[in-house]
Amino acid sequence: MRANGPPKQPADGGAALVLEQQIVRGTARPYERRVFGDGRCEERTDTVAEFVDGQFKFSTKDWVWERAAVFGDEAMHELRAAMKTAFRPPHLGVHRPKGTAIGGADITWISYEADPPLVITMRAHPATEIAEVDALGPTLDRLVAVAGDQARGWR
Amino acid sequence: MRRGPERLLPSTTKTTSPTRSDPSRPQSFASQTIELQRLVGNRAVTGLLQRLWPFSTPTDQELYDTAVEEKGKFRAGGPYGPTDYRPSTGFGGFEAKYDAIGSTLAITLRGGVDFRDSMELQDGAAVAKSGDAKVAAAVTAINKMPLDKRAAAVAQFQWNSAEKEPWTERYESQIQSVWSSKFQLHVERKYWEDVGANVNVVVSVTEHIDSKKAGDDHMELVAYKASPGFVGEYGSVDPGIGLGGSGWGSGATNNTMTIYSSDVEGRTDNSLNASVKFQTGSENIDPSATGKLDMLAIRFKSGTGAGCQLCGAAIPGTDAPIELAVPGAPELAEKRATKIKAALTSRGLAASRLTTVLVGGTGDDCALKVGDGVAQIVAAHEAGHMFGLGDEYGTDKGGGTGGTGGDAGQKTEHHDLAQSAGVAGSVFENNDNIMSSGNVVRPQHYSTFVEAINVITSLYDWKVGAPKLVTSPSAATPAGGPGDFKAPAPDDGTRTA
Repeated sequence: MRANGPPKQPADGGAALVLEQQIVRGTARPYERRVFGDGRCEERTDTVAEFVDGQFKFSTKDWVWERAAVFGDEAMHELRAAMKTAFRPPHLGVHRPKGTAIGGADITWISYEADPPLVITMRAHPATEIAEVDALGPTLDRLVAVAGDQARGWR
Repeated sequence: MRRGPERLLPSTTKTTSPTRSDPSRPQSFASQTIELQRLVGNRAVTGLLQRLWPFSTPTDQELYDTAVEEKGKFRAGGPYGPTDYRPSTGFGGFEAKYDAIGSTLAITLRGGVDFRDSMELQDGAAVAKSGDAKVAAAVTAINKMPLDKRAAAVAQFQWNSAEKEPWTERYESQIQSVWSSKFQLHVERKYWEDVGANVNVVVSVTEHIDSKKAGDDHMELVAYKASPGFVGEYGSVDPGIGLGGSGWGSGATNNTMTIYSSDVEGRTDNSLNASVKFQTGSENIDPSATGKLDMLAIRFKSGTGAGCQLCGAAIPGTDAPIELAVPGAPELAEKRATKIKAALTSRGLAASRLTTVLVGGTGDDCALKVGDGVAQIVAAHEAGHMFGLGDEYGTDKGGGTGGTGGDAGQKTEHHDLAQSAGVAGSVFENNDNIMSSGNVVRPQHYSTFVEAINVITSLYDWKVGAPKLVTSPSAATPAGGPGDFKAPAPDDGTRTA
């Protein structure tokens, strides 16, 4: 399925968007990530986790876009390869659970590599699992972590 | 009822003095009957006439005697089931078996556990496997740690073999504790009211080696590992294709439940508890609390009133009481109590639901407790979906609750079943109900068990509520006592957990 309306573009006039992820929750602001063509990856969430004394503690913070990483060419190539696998029929469109869910986490992925953009929405995930689409998240996580490690000189 | 035989005596009969002195005179049927009544008594004649006259309505005594005989056959004909059953709501599944001798309805929920990690290490980086915003936040935090520290943190989101058995035992015991023996059932048929059922809920989940679930498991239980106290974004039951009812194709064994490992304990984000801030040392509510009061008033609005869209009849909600624990010295606390009650009633909450407790101290936070205030065990809520019940929580805009609930006061998916089970009904409302935001099992939550026992026993007159004393019409005292139903505890049909 293709999205209605024009592609979202960054307000700062920078590079065009490549990929966007939205995790929409019932009781909190969405968790969002976006990747630009120049390799910038940004994250917006009001949830922050801390690992203190062997335990995770969760709290809230301002819901603003923050730089998560800057990807090099190799990372962008890997990301685009993962997107090619995910954004294709029959994955495109809205996938709804057959059953009933509490809380609800609706995950939407938008590829701006097409015009108009390609959209995949999985309502009440993981009741609507799609392996190739679900692989996008770990890929992005790993690329962000590796880029961060490289920036810190850990790799 | 004695209408039949009595109608044989015309009310206008004048010949009420037939004499034995004139045996040659032809006697009417009525006069012969009266003569017979004089000789052998009314009861004997009535019984004789009922046997001779096939279209007569049976007497109470006959109905009672027939019921005793049929109940004996019914009890001897058991047990009924076990049968895998998907309720008519169209989702979930469980096994139902009724032991008519022991008066026990056994509800069994079987599952195959699919233990899944929420996170893993890839190339030294933590990556999320569950698509959850909180897991994502944890991933971000972990990936800021030095590489050699990450594995230990990721391990909190991964199962180890020693954790699995205690977790499955906890899962089983928590659901059984919430759901078992909350109400009794009985047959609502004349002289059958002493036929009852104690409801025993048994949960059995196992990790299978060769498959995610066995053929007779009612569900695949996907259990994502999370750190203690973690509150996930979802719990869900996803019913596969099925027609409902029992037998092949019913879908009773074709469901998937998804939860987090932490969902077997009470939620740490308990929505039944909240606090509202007063200005320091003042009776005035802090202006920053205005938005929160607006939200709480929407979240806990009454479900009573909207009711049936077709017939217009109001369906009662739970209208859970709201306890306000007001801090401060007595005089200040009294003023604060007046203020907070006024703030909530002006936003639409009924004053009759609000109670205040003056807790003293020097604090400025007023604690609100809705219903029993006990944090929901998500696994027990999801088990309710496996029992075929829909959600009951309200998702009115501005109330801060998402999911597959509905606007307060509208009928839930199991409303009609609840009414069939002798309960007023079921509406969306945020309260301490198990299918709303708490753990309390109320009568409507046994309505799918009633549907199942109706089907397996073919009686179709089962209702929620304790069995009743049945006495012989001919006896001043109960014949044979209160029947042979084994009642575990007094229960008026309205008891809650």
